[in-house]
Amino acid sequence: MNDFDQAAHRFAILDHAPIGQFILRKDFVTLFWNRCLEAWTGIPREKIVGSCILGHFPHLGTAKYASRIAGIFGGGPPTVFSSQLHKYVIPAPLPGGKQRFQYTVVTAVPAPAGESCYAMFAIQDVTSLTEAIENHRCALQQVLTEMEERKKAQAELLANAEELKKLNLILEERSIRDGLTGLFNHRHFYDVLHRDFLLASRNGQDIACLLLDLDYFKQVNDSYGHPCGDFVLKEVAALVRRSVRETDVVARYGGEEFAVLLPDTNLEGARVIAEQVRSVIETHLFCFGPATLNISASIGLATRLSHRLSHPPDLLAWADRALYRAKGDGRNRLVYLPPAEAGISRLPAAGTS
Amino acid sequence: MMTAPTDFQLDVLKELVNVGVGKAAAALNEMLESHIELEVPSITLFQFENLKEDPEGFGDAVVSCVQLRFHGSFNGSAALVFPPRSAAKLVAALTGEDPETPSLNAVMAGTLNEVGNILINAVIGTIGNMLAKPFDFSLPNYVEGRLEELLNPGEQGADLTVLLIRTRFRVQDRQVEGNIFLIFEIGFFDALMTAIEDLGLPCRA
Repeated sequence: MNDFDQAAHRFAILDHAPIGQFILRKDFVTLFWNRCLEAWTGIPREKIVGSCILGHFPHLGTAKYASRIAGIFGGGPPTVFSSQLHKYVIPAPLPGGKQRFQYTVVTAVPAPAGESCYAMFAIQDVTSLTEAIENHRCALQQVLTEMEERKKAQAELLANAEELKKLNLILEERSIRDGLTGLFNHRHFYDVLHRDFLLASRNGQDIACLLLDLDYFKQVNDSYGHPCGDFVLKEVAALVRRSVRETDVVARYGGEEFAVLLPDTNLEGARVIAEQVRSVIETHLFCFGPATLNISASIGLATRLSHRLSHPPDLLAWADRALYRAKGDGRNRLVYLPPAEAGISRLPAAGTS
Repeated sequence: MMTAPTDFQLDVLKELVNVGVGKAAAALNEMLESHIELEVPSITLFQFENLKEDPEGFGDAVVSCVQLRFHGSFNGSAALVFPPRSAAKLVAALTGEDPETPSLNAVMAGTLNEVGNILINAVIGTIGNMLAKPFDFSLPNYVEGRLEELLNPGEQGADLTVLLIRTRFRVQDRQVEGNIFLIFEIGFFDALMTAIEDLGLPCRA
């Protein structure tokens, strides 16, 4: 029996294996080619057994295969060709034309005579596994991409929220300020008055309120125009702001009316500050273009303790009455109405500047 | 217990290992597009029971391992062991995958199996060839787990001799450490030493 007949007999059982198997002799002549490989490659056993495998698959002669296969002929340890590093050892197309991915192990099997061994190739089709891995990888990539996008969207949202916060702050700031003078507006002043008044009540402290109205302001507007009027209002705002303390709250109360809230300040203290405000305005020279104007202000003063008040609006009402009296008494003055005069005082009518 | 090897025996053993690793490097370079360098920084011998004192300190970490049993002139097993990070780095360098990709695990097994197979084969193949002592080999097997469990020979107990060959792979600009454990069953390390001694005799005679 020659090597081929012997091999056909000896390796016949490999025809039943669901893996591709073939046997090589030391000279790379194919001794056996199993049915599975026939099916995979379309090469029938008769065509390949007895011939050098390099005639069919020249790549096996390149160093990366040949030197490792040579080790097997010498009886060396099994050698692995993974699908990751080689894709395939024996090209075996699938119906779609793609090649099967293969995991190949080559082992030495004793040759009947002589010293060298045969090399037995066992080739597993790992296409489905490889595809599963590939699918898994794609799915993973997709998830990662989605996560990345979601993260980005979230970051954008956060940035927007941050922007919104800033805008809100600006709006809020605007909603409590008077656009022309930058002082607090009427509404905010009222809120602060309410809060500070109650706080003062609870702590048993005094709190004073000044209402200030510019005298003959209408004439300023009429004679010099509204821009000049605006200029005067701004100047007065700055003057008042500078004349009071950091903790005092200054607001533009109406057209040419200003309000100052003096927390923790009694009648005497408030008088000093109010008089200071009045005189600062009186002595200030308002220079608008070529014109130089003198302006004066009437001020009404009230305090919580001196009037024994328990409601925040009453403080304003008393200051307003005092202001009305100041106007009536000839303007450019500070008036405090003692509570004794409450009975004879009437609420001021509007538009008495 | 093994008998302590002589300097001559150790020198020959180191030489065999170096030749084997050199062959492995040549085989890898034939196969891969990127140039790969292999070095053996150190070789140490110890009893299996002292595995825990291994300065590598794998501890309880999960390692990647390619294993192969051999029997015949010498009985034992060989394993190439990588800490997971190193395994990923090496596979990434060899396959061009991104080392941070979790799916790397999937391609790791096959690649490491082949690389480990080449390296182990070259080392024990060289020992067998040079000493003219034939072995039989089991199929290579890729496993992951704790080092002690993976290498544990079971009933044989602790009285095994371990030859630890540290290897350093350099691929492109990356450097990866891997360890080859050659574990000899009782008596077979001594047999190896005797074979080496025999090899030396004619020269010294």
